[in-house]
Amino acid sequence: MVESRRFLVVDDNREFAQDLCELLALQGNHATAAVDAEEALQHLEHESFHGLFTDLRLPGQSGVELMEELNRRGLDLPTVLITAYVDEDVVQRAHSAGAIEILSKPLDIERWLDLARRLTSSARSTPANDAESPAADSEPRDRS
Amino acid sequence: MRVESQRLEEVTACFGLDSDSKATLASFSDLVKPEIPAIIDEFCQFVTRDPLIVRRANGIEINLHCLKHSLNHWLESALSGPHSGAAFLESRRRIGKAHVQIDLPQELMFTAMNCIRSRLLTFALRNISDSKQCEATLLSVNRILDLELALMIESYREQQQDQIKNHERLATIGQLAASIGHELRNPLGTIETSVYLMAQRLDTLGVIDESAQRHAVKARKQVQLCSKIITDLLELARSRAPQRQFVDIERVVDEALEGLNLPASVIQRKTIAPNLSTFADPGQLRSVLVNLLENGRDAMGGAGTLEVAGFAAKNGVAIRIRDTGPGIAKADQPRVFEALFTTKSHGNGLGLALCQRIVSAHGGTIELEQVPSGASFLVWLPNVVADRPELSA
Repeated sequence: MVESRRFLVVDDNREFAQDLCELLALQGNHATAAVDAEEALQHLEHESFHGLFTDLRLPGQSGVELMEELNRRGLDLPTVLITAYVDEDVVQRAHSAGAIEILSKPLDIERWLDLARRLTSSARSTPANDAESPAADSEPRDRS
Repeated sequence: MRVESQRLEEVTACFGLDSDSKATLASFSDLVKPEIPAIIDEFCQFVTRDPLIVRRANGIEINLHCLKHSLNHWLESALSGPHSGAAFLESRRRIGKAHVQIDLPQELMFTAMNCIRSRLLTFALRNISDSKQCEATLLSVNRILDLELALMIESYREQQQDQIKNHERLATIGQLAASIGHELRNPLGTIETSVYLMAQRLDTLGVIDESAQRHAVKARKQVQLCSKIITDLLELARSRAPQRQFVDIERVVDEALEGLNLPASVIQRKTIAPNLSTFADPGQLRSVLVNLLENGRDAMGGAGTLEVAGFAAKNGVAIRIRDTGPGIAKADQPRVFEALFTTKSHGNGLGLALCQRIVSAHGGTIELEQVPSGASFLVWLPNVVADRPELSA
């Protein structure tokens, strides 16, 4: 039995983030919405996720800065940037920060859902979830 | 721009060649005529050797034959006249435009003119024995060359100002378009997801309604279309230097024709010379062609002929796009390349201005040709010396 994937969706438009969560839920996933980097990091401290979808422009820290923060914390989370502001500069920065893909709004929904399906990562353990068993299809990882 | 055109007349009036000077010049003109080709030859050697000019020309092949021909014509007319009138001013204005196009440093106009001046004066001194006549000739030659120089500088200033104004306008529009375009993507994103979710809901509820499904598909298609329009607009508005590479003209024309969606009643005609190629930015060239083709298609509104021709011309490559629509009103013609000028009720007036910018960045020209019916645009790109490393990005 495959554990349903958990995704974190960050967009300063909460309704849009919730709509994306709804779309992910239709595919049998569990998704959480956040409106800024701060809220996202709070969720990340208490839950583990298989993937992160984030907008670039957020109040406070940007999507790229969020990704850089995750890198600093050693959180290896496959991330996809979804943004209205795509240009060469953005693409370069996002790739440097480790984004798997940069999608532009309006989304090609089928393509995005397909990407979500393909994202693989072991759910990173967090202090609160040490007891959780790893997902059936993910590799065993060292816990730091 | 219309007010500025008086300036050349004012400059001409300021130098005021009297009838005596004109007569002196006319007889000198007859005397020096056989010598003119040699003077121009020497001038061209001077010009093409100057490292500043060579660098500024951006690797564009200087067609010496054409240059000599134009210069001979100019010098002959400068000496023999007429020295005023609409045709005279128009030809001097064109010289200014050409100088601005090749970004000629103004100090070079002085040194270049000096080369011609010294040859003419020396010739006069050596060949006119009558001292009074000689004196009068020297004075008149100096006067006419000063007039020509003043006209060159003034017309250069005029053309440069126009160019700067248009660039600034485009830059502002570009910035505005970029920010609007990006802003529009957010609400489009929401429309896309909401329409999708609505369709999913109906599905979940087991409602099978063909009409609803059709509308959902249509709405999503339109959202994608909006997105494409924004992308194209942003692409055009970006002032990216051309990334030149070998471009096969037939191929880029085919690519431009591909997405055109011509109605069945419009005849498409394509005549490209074999093996026609250029060294240009393929994406930018394609946008120019698409823009011109779309304009032609829209002008004809359903029936007519859209013609694309490609041929070698004047040390370069020319592409002509012609339609059999109503053409462009005489009054509008001088303004077609202005940013924000449009005669279309649904156009954005940016297309031709941006086409001109792209073509200029390639060192080329785009013009509206004079045709008896319909509209015809001619794009000309100079042959570029491909082995200049400073040209590749």
